[in-house]
Amino acid sequence: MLMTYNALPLFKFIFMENKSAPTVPAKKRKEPFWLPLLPDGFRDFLTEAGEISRFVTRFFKEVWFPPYEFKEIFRQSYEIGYRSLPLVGLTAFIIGLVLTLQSRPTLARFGAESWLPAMVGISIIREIGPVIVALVCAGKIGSSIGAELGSMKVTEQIDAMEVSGTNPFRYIVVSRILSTTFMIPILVIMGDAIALVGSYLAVKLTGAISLTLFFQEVFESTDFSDFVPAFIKTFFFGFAIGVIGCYKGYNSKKGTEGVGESANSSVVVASLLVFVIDLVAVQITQFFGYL
Amino acid sequence: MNKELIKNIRLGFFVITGTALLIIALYFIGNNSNLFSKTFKLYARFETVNGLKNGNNVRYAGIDVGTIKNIEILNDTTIRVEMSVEEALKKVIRKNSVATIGTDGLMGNKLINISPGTADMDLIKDGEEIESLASLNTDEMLRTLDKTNKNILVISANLREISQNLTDSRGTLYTVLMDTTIARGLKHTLGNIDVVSNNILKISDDLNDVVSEAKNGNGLIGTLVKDTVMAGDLSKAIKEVRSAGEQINTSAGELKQILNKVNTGDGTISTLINDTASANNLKRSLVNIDVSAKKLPALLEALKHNFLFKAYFKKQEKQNKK
Amino acid sequence: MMEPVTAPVGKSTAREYGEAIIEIAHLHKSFGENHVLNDFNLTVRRGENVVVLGKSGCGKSVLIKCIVGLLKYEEGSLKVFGKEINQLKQKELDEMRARIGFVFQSSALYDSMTVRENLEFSLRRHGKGKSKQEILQLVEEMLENVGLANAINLMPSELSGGMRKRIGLARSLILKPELMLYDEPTTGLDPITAEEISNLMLAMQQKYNTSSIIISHDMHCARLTANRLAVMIDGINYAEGTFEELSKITDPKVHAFFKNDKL
Repeated sequence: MLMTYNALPLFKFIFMENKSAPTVPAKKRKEPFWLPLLPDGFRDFLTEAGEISRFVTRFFKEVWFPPYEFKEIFRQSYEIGYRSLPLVGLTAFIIGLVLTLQSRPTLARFGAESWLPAMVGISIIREIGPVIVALVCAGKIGSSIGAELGSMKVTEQIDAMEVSGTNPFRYIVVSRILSTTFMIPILVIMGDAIALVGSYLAVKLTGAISLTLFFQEVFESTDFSDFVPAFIKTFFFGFAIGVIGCYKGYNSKKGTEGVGESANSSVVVASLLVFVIDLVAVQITQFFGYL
Repeated sequence: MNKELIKNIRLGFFVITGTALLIIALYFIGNNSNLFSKTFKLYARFETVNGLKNGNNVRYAGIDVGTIKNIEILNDTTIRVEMSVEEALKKVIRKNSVATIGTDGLMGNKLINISPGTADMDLIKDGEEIESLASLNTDEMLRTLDKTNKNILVISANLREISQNLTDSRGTLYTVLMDTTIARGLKHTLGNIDVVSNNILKISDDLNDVVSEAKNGNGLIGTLVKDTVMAGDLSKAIKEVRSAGEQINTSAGELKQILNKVNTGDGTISTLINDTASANNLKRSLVNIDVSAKKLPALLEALKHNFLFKAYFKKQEKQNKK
Repeated sequence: MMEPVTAPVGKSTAREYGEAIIEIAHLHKSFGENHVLNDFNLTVRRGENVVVLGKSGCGKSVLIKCIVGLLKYEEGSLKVFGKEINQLKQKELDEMRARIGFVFQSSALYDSMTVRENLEFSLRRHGKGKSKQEILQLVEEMLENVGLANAINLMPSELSGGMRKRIGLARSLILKPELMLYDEPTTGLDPITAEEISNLMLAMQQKYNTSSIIISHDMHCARLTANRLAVMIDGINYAEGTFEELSKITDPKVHAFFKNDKL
């Protein structure tokens, strides 16, 4: 799999832009007076934000109408969901284990070790599970979609699809975005469960606790207001990962370098977006008084 | 084609497992907030709910049995809390069960604890209200006591002035003692002291009862006061209040005697005046009263800080009103 | 700008072939400041193979992408089967595309699909009403045509460059198009394979009686396949004629193409 990951400065990550040829320059429009005043990086950032918005708009325009590419959606769901499970599972397991082991001494100082399952459970369900899984998926899925679509673009497969009468946006982009949007939440649920098992083992390492008691304590301290907002935001994580991967790949520059760059920047932007969405989600849940 | 089939089977397995986990999680969380078990409604009115929120737990004798469903303000002093309680509890909660607001653990959430009623009362029905006992505002009650106390101080100061006059200015003593208006005033004052000190006595008796109840773990306060050390402190404080009151009482009694002597006639006046012993007596009594009266505010202050008595004083006030 | 030296087109040529399938007149296309097509004219008739010669990057690919509507042109007229491409709605464009086969420079086989799925792909949209059996027969027929019948279940990554070209050809032929567009069909292949491909193109053209536009700078291929050539220089149709006619032109720009490849 193509996945270059250079350590570029952050601002370069954000403003990384592929300068694919504008298809229709149409009539020459007079440049607005403020355009040269904007710093280059900021202009590129705005340009990209605008293009991504248009990409998302196009997705919502196309997603409702047939033909639905079910076969492709299933194929992508398999690739994105099932194939990511081992990676997600391992990461979640380790995170659950480590989080519990790390929290123990602090709680032990207060003699509150009995709170360990409740505390770790809430951390995992509310925040750690969704974000870690989304980040892992941004890395794995974002780069693979970015690279795959990038190489499809470069080798004219997207044009070939267009010529053969299949709407490539619908076949390639819509199916992938739908798959990530619905597979990431499932991966998060599974990741949460596996992380809790990891956490249970960590609790068990230092003290006797039954599996039932552990999960009872976890669920006793968990409320719908912990679970539901955290679950809803995973759909947005999945959507963002899909959109960014597809956008970066679909607008890939020509040549192998373009493919690498698409993969790279889709990982970076998708990871960043995961955090931004997380921040916004916290604000929104707070606004609705769920915290 | 076969490969495709295997992929689809795996995908199906993946999706179904994920969905099943989701449903299980939702079920357990829902179970935790009593979404799926049969419940009935129960109401209780409070004057303040101390930050109780929807979704907080309801406990019966320490067991989680339900959640707070709704908190509504009925008027400026009454808040009605709707609780959703497991159906099984219909067989246990009685009409004289009492709801109190408490805290889970040291820093935990607020909750409502329903204490068992007595067996002779009827069982509760859906949508009925049970009695409540909350930490009510008793500052007012204490303030009244404080005022009484201040009055005693003023009275005793007056008494001291008089006794001072008796001992120091022998020349004018006669006229003073012969002045019936003053004597009447003094008598009136003594009557007041009598009432006040009787009140104090009564209160301290009541307090005593409360403490002994608390010690035995009975009654409402008993459920709250589990710390025996605290109860010990309390009884000590109450004893002090009581002894202060008794002192005032005896001093006042002595004063009365003296005044009676003064009032009964000329014959005894001279002996009274010459009798330095009785003058000394009078003086000592007055000093005693003064000391006792000064002790009282401190004791009351101490009591004020003891939240356990807030409820008690409130009740006392109500009875007084009747 | 230099006056285009239009080679005399033999009247016999015009009579020999059928009605005009593609009529390009005064076509303009630019990317920003870069004017790729600048008043380009070309007509292709039924059953005719036209090779468009030109230097790399001079806009030959842009031309055929305009023909299938992958790119929009700005000015001029481009009629395919008598319809102006820029004015077609998406649905009409798709119907039009079903009648056109497009062989991409890089073959553009779908990496994630087997050869068979690659061939079936166009039929998803345009082959409605065909049974599975018919589709399979069609796929096998096409693979037979290009001599790769046993590659049906291979993935594109398992194929050599020449095989990919053949599969690409088979894929674009599967809808039995009336017009074939080849984008540098022999580029990147060894001379022997290149000739095989050229012959195959010719054979297919005869078998299915298609017209074609072949974009190339491979003179060998051009000589083998072309009924007529057009030389594209600076975005215009600089010279047009049969291979024989053009090779006699002394204009240095045209001559540059033929100097190494005298008949």
